[in-house]
Amino acid sequence: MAANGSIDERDFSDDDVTDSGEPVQDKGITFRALESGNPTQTITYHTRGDDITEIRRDDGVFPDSHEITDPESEEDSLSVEDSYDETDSETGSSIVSWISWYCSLPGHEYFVEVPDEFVEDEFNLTGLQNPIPYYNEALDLILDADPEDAANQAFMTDIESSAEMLYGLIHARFILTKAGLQLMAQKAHDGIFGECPRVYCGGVGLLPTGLSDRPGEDTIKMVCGRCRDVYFPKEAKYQSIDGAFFGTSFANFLWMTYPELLPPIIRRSATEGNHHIRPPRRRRHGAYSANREDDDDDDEDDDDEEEEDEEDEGRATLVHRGHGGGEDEDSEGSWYAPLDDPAHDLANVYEVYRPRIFGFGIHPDSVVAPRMQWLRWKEGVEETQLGR
Amino acid sequence: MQHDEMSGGSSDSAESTAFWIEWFQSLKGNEFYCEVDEDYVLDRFNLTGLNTEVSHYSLAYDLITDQNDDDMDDQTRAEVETSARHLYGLIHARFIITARGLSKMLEKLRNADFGRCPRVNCDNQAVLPLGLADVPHTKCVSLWCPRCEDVYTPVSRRHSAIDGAHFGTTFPHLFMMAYPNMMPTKTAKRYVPRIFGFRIHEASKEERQQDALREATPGAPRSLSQEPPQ
Repeated sequence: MAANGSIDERDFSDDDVTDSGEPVQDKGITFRALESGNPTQTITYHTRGDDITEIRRDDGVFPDSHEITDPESEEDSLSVEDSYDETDSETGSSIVSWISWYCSLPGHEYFVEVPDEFVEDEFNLTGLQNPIPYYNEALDLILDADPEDAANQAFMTDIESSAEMLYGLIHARFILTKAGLQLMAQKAHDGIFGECPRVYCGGVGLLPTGLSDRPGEDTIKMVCGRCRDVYFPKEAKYQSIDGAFFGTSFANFLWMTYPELLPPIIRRSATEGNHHIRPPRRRRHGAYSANREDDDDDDEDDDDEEEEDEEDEGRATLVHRGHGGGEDEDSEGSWYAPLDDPAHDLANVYEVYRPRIFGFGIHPDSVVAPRMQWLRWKEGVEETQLGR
Repeated sequence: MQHDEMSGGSSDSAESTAFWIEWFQSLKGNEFYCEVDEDYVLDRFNLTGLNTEVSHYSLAYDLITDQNDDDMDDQTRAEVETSARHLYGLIHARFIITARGLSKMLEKLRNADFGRCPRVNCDNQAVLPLGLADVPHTKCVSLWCPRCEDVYTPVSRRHSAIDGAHFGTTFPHLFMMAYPNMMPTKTAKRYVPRIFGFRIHEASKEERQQDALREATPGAPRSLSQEPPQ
């Protein structure tokens, strides 16, 4: 499993992901599953970019619920977690607890520290004995109660990976408790989980989620509460975390418990008028020709002209937009406000993207006509925004 | 930050290389740009109106076309360098909606030079760059996914520094009109929020309305048979 370790120990930086917009492709790497005692069995590691995203056994399927109790197949799916430097844990455990050390590893920023009391309560661990090999040893390791038996040293790698798996599953349970929700809400509030990559969600915070509650099935995904969609984690170092360590329920549960984590959307309506105030647009470069007759850019968009109209009004003072104008560029127009504009409260914006060619909407029969707007539709999104 | 550093030290290296455009293309962070044909830049008709957008227009133009003379102080040189990048970007926005530019961008799309859609259900669909405004200095470049038809922010901070007007609002849609076979098949697959396996009332109400809208949209993907019943 040395090859495995070397993959995960690489130093991931933010830019590694898209350094050159490098194609992120699935590459299957096949290893012999030596530790399962069956050298003919192979495991395929599917990677995205530099990182493992999933493991598949030789039959091409993940261990299903029946197999999960089978210790042999369990070892296969565990092996992806078997990636940390054991020497680290030994030196680390003498100073800090295993849980603190594990949560402080690079790439483990999403985990919260489960209190020892929670782990010590057997009731919280109901049902975890069966799927996890070396359960007792792993539990001892997590609680720093490991007497470091000489007999255990041989299996230390397996115990380490079992401990990671066990901790992940305990973690998935803990973050659904009141204390866990509080800790995770604090992390979400601090912006640890990043922002929605979708432009028209206005940079609302994401939460980690799994797409399955069974370990070894899928990696962690990020869910946005505003567009209710799932995205890949932005940074590669998070892309190898098992999704079951966070679970399918957690994110939605947290938003139900702490609704303030999802700022309300201020919906702009063309009919009732809105009082969104937009300062005059700034031009940092270039001489702006005040009289439009001089400006005969045939290549420039029609949006440009709309903008100029607005600019003419807006130069002197702030512009009150809307008031039953009903023009369909209303929703679009407000987006021309600069991103760094404090008056433009981006956090409350939700829009549906409307494609335009030279400023014109696209006919429904066209090959590029919008066909996925339903996906982003929300209560309060006007027909005009959808270009109907 | 990195971007600024590069522009600071760039004017020296520009002199050493033969062609400014080639050098600009080779800079880290400029992977989204395609190389504008020299003929296109040299045809003054294609630059109509850009002289009002760019300061030091003629100096910047000379720099792009490698006719720069050296009698400039450092201050002016830095300004001209910035202007040249901006001018090149605006020419680029016009070039990529020509037939030649579209075919160059097709090559880049095939290599997924612009990255891939972050949405899980889009299955790593390659994206196209898009500006949300044609007016310079208003919006940074965004990425348009042809599968979910939505716009996303680029992953790398380097790319977030690119002006959206260097690509324009029109480009990806015109591109798909020119190459309709590059349009991926849409999917009705979506994430269903659940708590302990149960759907959430508010979310599924919204889903039903979205589904109704989908049924009403001509050409929208039909629901999948393997989806669990409502």
